[in-house]
Amino acid sequence: MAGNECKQGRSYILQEFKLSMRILTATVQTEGCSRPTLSVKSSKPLPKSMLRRCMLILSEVKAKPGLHMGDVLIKNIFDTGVDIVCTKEL
Amino acid sequence: MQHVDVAVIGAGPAGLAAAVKARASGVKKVVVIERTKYPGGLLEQCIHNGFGLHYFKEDLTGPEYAARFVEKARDLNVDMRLDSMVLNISGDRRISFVNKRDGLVTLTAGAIVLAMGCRERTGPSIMLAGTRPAGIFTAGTAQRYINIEGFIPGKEIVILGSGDVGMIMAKRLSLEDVEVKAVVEILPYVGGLIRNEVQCIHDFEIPLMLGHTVTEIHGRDRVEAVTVAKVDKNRQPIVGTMKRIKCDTLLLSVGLIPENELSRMAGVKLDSTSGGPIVDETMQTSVPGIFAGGNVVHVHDLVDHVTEEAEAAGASAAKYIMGKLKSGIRKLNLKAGENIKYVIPHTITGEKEVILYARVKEPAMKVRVKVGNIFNKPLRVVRPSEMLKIHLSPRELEKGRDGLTELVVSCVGKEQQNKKINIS
Repeated sequence: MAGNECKQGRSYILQEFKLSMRILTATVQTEGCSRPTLSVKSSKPLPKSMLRRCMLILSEVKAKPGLHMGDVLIKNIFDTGVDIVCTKEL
Repeated sequence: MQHVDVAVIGAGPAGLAAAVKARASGVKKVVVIERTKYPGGLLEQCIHNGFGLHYFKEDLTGPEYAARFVEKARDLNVDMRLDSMVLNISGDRRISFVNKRDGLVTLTAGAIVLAMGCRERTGPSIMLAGTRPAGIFTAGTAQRYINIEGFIPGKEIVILGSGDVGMIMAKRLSLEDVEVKAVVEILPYVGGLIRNEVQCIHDFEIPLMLGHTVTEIHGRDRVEAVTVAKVDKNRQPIVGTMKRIKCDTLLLSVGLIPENELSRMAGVKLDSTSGGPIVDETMQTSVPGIFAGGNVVHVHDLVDHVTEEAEAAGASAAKYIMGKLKSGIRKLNLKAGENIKYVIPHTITGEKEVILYARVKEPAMKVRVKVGNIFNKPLRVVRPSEMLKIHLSPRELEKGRDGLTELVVSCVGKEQQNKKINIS
């Protein structure tokens, strides 16, 4: 491995070879709110192969007003230790 | 007539950074005028991560990055006029804007920071042939539809252009189970960041058609298909390579251009290669007291750089109204040399350290980035989609002291290669 200008490049590549991990970012629908969507993200990277399964779960979520940035919408999704959190206020 | 010390046009990342910096520098009355209902600019619809890696050393989504600055602006009592459209800016810094609450307002400003960002290129500006059915959107419009309005633009998508917005939309749509049939790019290399090529296109196994373009759109009321063809060295379609791809939506990701309407009204001189105002190292434009920062000056890749640049503009606006902005004795013109498309700022004094931003015209490997005789740095790879940041130290600037009126920024190298990512 050569030429990485970023310190984290080395650990990223080593991880990529083992199991590609990605942060999931998406939107969920809202209920009782003038804004139709709420943006969310996974608190930590998830295995790339799990992203679609997580999206199916997110399609069922209806976020209600009063949520703050960082609030947990889904705790420990698929037992990964990763939460789905809000990235905006609602 | 109301008078403010510093008026910032736009509450996107650039405007917010400039306003916060101006207030933090001691300016009393800072007003930000924003045409949409919420601050944050386009970051509000950029729900993906990758923002703030340099500035905050954290991996944030667009809205989270924006929120940091919105909070700072609130804490510092920046006067935010939302849902307010600026209609005119004059060279003597009079601003007219309109909103539902106040009607038509005119105010004068001690200094102005232009932070209007940029807009997307559209179909007509790239001369797309064919019918004009519904279902043709710019990638950014599709992003707004999905992430803010809550609906998908179509079910079978073709994306023209491999800029970052296009690639990010390819991923976003795929995650929403929409079929992205191809990303079509006229150049032999991807137009955006490598990390997007990997995480948006290769991750989702979306066909990437480099060296191709859309030659025709089909469909009467709604897009039914597009014709795609290979192009030659002169970017002309090669007869016999036409392929028809069935789709109901065409997204255009074919470039961004700075929003220049207000800059022109104020009499600010523009540079056609960078797309925005001509600026010096304080980010002052050709009109005294009018500064600019962010995508309105030149299109950036990373919002972290937008923030840094806009902070410089905000700091300079603050110095200007306090009478502390010294115009340098010398004026060194920065010229774009070999394989450089443009350099920002356009002039420097050479009297203090400065950061230059530049873009190369073509990808290359094993090159040297040079600034006159005073700076020479080897780089393994350069590409147009990844802006160069050149830091000129006081010591380096000392070297170029005598008799110089211009510095040529160039990127020289023997190996010209189209970089292809090997994914196995």
